[in-house]
Amino acid sequence: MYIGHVGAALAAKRLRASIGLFALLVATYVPDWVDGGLCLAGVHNPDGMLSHSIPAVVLFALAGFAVYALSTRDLTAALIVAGMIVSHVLLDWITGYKPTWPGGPMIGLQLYEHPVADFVVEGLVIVVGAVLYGRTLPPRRRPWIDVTIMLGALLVLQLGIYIAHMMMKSLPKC
Amino acid sequence: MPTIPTASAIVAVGLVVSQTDTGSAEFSNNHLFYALRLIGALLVATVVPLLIDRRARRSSRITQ
Repeated sequence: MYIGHVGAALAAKRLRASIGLFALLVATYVPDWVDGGLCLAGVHNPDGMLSHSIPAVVLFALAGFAVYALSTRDLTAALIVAGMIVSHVLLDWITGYKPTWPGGPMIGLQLYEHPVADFVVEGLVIVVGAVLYGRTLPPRRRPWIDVTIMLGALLVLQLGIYIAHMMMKSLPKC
Repeated sequence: MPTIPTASAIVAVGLVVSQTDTGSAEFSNNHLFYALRLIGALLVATVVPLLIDRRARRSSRITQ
C-alpha cells in the first residue's frame, strides 16, 4: 500500500486527537523507512524480510510504544502509535506480497498487479481516513474544504506514484 | 514495558538478520536511485498531509 497508509494515520488521529499527526505519519511508514535506510546502507533485505516480516514489525511496534510512552507518559497514545506501525504490514497484506517470518510463506493479495483494484482499495482507506480526520478539526463555517483538499492531494499523490512506477518499471529493487 | 515480548521480538529479528546474506548485495547506482526514490516518496507522503493539516488548523483559528 502506498498513500493508503496516510489514510490510516488520519483515521488514528480521530482515536486520540492529542497525538501529533507527524508521529502518526512516521509510525505508519516505519517499515518503509527501515526499508529505505537498509537500501541506502547497502544491506541486503530479501523481500523486505528485515523491514516487513512479522518479527521485524513487532520489534518496531514495541520500540515505537516505548519511545512514545517514555516521551509523553501517555500509554494509550503509545498503544495507538504501536498499532499504527503494525497497521502498515496489515494493509500491505491487502495490496502487496510480504514475508511472514524466516522460512515462512509470503502472503498478500498482490493488488499491485491490478492497479484499478489497488486504487479502489487505497482510495477507500484514504476517503475513510480523511472523513475521520475532518472530525478532529476545530469547527468552522465550511469544514468540508479542508477534508476535500486533503483527500484531493492524497489521491493525486497516489496517482503520481502509479505514473512513477509505470515510468520506472525496470528499476531493480534493493 | 512488556519485557518478555520485547526480548522475544529481539531474538526473532536476530534470527532473521542472521539468516540474511549481507555481503552479497552489491550497492549499485540503481539501488541508490531506488533508495532515494523511496525516501523521497516517503518524505512527500509525510510532508504534504502535515502542511495541509497545519493550514486547516490555522485557517480554523482565523475564521472562528
